[in-house]
Amino acid sequence: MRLSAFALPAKLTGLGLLLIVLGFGIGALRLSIWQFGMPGPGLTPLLVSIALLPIAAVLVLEPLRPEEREPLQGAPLLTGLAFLAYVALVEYAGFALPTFAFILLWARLLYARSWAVSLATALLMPLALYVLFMLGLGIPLPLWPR
Amino acid sequence: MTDTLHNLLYGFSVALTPGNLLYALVGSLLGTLVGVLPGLGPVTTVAVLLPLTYGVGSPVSSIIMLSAILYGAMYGGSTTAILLRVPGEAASVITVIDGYEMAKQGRAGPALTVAAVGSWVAGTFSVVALTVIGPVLANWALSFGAPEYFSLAVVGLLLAGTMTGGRPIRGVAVTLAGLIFGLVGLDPMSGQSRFTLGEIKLLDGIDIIPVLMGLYGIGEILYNLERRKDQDFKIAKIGKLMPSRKEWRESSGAIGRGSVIGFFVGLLPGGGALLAALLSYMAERKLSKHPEEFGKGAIAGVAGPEASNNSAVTAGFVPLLTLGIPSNIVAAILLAALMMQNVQPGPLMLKEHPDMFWGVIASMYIGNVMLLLLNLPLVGLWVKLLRVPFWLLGCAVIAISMIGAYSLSNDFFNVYVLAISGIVGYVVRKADFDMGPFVMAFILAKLVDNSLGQSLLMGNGSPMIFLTRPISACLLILGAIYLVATIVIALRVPKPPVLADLPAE
Repeated sequence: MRLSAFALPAKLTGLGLLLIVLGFGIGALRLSIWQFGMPGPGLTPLLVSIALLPIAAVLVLEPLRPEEREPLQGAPLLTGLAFLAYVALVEYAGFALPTFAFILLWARLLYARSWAVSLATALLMPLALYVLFMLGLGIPLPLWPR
Repeated sequence: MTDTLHNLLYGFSVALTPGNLLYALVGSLLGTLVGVLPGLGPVTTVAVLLPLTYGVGSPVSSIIMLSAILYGAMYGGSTTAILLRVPGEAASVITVIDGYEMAKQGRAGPALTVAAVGSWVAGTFSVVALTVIGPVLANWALSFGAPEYFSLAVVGLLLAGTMTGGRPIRGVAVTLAGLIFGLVGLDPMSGQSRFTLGEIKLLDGIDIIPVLMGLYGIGEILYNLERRKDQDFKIAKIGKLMPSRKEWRESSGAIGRGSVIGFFVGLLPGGGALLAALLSYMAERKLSKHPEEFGKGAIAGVAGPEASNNSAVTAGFVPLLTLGIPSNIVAAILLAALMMQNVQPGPLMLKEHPDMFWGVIASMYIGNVMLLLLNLPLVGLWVKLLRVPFWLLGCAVIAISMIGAYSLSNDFFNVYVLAISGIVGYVVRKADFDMGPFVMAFILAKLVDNSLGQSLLMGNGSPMIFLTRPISACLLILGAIYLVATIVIALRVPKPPVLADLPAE
């Protein structure tokens, strides 16, 4: 199996599960498994990790059928990361500016709308959301940088 | 029986206030609004809109709004299945087969009508059945101790993990992963913190709601970005809404049978809407005098499965409300919503919060009626919504999810959980892993852990206690037989042909 085969979504999920087993399994061993003659906090996570280990190994090592070999695509992954960055920006710069930027990029870059349409959406949608959620429902999401 | 009727009427008196009707109305509209967006199914819709229901006030009101959203979204999914050949969720895949054919022949109106009427009849049937069975089951479950709960949860998760439609090994893998993630936080028995990495916000555990919103909402929208070039759907004309007398005749039997089949399938863990719809479709094709019409626009092929999947969803609330164990993803979301309101479903709920128990049942029914009164007459409006471009609604849903996750505790921690779950959601969606069992296991993890600990204490440390108590032993033996059979079938028998010729999404 070539190394690039591990970049396929099914393999990545298998690897993720394996990481979960290792992380939580080791974590469980560091908690007590059995104490004062009764089960400790590490028992259930350890049992679950032991059960998951062979399954995750099979998922990582098994050959994939051709229809399972569809690779991840750039646009969704980058957008997912952009969303993460957007969230971090909202935390520090408030809702208004990052949302404007996120929607502008979304409309202009991802969906290739015209500048006019993209700008109008990026201005009006945050405003509508602000009126609906912050004013209407009273959600105290900060609007501007502190 | 009169007692039950009295109780149900009490539920309606709790649920039927002008304010609650307004919430049902708004929920139904919102649910359909998001549910008709091509590519966004009911689970996504409910997950994204869940935080909205939190703010509406009393628990009964928010559950009424949530069930209205759910039924609205399910109907929205059927609408796109019939008009666009885009199933909003797995269960609507069956509706696509004959629904879209009918739409091509100019019979979309009757297809939409029997789908709505079928869903309503099935909803009525299953709510009545739930009303009758619920208290009996809840009373029986009162005798359950920790070993019974442990065995019930484990066998339930095993069934749910292996029956979701994907490959069983993947279902079991995500079930186990869900169990582990659900244990993050303070261990109530020892008072020690588990896997919190020193983060105080993790002491209460990871909140399931941003995880759900990320996996199903954000993940689904990211997945849709792959197809952003070909969003130009051909929308079929609706034509007249009323089915002909012949069409009514052909669908009425299918609706009746679908309601019953769906109810029994929905009681089983993992026996979700897809299996219910599929079984109903197969039954109708078998019983029909003209089986050759199936796949070419047979109205019974729309009516039966639509009734069946609705019935299955409601039936899924039976184990949830009586045992506290969700049997499918929709019930798991309802459980998350109830827990958000500090209501713990289970056998005690009927005794301790009868207003809630009967209020929830009545509110599910109100959601169902709202669907018939609202969605069908407004179908022209929903079709117009189908023309609103995805890019516009997609970014609105993302921003609304962000605000919704923040509003859960007015804090950014959940928003980061949402974003990370969203990226994970996209990857597992591409990898064709169904995350329903993950969510169910996540929610049940603490129950499994506590009941395991308590059982071992009761048995002085010996796991034999699970086999010496009769109910627990029966459940475990059935589970073991089922597990062996599943492994044998997975290794030997090829995929059944019926599943293989379903149209791809």
